Amino acid sequence: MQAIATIGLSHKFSAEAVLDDVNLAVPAGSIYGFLGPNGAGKTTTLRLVLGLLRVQHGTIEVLGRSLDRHRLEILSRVGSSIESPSLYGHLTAVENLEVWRRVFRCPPRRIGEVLSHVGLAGTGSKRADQFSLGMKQRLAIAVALLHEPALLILDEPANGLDPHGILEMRALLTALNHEHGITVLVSSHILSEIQKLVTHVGVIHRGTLRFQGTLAALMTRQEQSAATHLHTSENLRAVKIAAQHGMEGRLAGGKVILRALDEQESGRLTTALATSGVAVYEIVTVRRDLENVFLDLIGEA
Amino acid sequence: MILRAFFFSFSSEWLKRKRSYTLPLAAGSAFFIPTIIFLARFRRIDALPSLYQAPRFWEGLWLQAWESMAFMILPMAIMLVASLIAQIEYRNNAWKQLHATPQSLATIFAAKLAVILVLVVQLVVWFNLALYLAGILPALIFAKVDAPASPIPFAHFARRDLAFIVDVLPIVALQYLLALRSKSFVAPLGIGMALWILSVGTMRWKYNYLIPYSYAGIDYLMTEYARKLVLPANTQVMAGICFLAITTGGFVLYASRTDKG
Repeated sequence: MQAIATIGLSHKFSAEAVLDDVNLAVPAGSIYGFLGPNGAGKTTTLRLVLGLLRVQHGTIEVLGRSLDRHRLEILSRVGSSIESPSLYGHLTAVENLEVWRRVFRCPPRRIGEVLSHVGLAGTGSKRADQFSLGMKQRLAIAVALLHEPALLILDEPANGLDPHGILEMRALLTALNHEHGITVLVSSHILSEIQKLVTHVGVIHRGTLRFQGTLAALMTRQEQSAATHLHTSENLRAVKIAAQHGMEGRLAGGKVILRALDEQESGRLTTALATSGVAVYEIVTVRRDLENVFLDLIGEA
Repeated sequence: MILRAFFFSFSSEWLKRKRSYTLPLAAGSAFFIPTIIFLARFRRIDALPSLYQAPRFWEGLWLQAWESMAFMILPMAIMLVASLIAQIEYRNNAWKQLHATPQSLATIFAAKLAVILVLVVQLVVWFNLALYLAGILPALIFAKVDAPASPIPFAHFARRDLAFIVDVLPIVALQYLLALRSKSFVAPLGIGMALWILSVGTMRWKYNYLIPYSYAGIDYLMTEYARKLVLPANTQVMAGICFLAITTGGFVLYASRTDKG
């Protein structure tokens, strides 16, 4: 079952198309990383999913229900924080949570529980506008968690967090997912920020979904994008010799580019080249990191 | 079910105005005129003993205070309160969070409107209290001034207070509509001020009742000064119809926004 499924979601602001045929599929129980550079369409997608923008084209299902027909029922099971934290600066953390507790009609004990969860239990009478950005982010997450949602949608939750805060947030979201079975969707424009957190990834750029699948599938793509670079005295002959050994290659930038070779293959090829009188000056296997794969997907590598 | 949702929503909205400027604004508006009246007593202390024994002392005091209240203070306070209530969401970038809660737009709209209305009622109640203090304090301070001889006409005051509250409902509705539409704190105030100035400036115009900000002033002139004005209906009826029409329009505009935060 999908926690979120959008079909053919397209959206325009004035004449400018910001989303084009986005088919988001967030599996229930997953931690889904929604990646894309600033302005890619992440926030617009999330605002549509939460009913904050009127759908112009396409359909949205959340937790198996049509958003169009069951908006309030869906929202009672979804916790969210979109863009910058929405907090009442003149109120304390407890008062902020009390505002939402009354709306969600959850028991008063939840306020203490979520404050402990996010490490803000001791903020007392300090007003939210006196909080650091990191504290505000954590309070926004506390608000989103207040009514024990089945789905958590967090837009750039790591913004303003220091490395320690990012670690804490990652641990918190992982625990919520593992221990409470909450499906989590986090958006980010930095892959490394969520790489250690997510099970699934969607990459959006210029309003179109460029990749969607498991993190493992993205890593397979990373593996596939690795290559062995060979610099020899006779590159053309080297390509032919490699092909004779089942290693198809091509010439690029004065080098022979082959698929990533393992140690045995490298050994066999260099021996074959040496035997044929081709001097090997350099052989190196270049493995691209996920960030580069991400940049490839958005066409900015 | 709907009432229950409204109650919880109202309760949440009411909490939001905690520590905002709505409380000092309501208190300041309520106590402003009574405080001036009280301080003015010090200028004519000799005249106080006879004034306090006048048979209609409280009516006189009430009439004196309501003149500024009906024409100026109450409309101004409503403009500020409505803007402040909407600004709580705008300033804190919280509309999106509010609209992502399981509440219908009608519930949110009605709850915020109810907060403004309760604040208006609170202001009028405090104003009456302040007026009582302004009336009674000189008698406690100055030895030669006895407490007012005439009884306080509670029922009459309550009826007239209620009438004035109904009279200003169109101002509440229109200022609320403007405040919801504008991210700016100043713009709704500017438009409200312009309409208020128009209503005061055209007070002698026979169609003045067409301006929704004029009903409290017309009511004051007709009731307290027995001014003869030809109106299609009494001011409360016109104000009530106007309030319903503007509120309905305001809700349609609010609910039809494609971008909800």
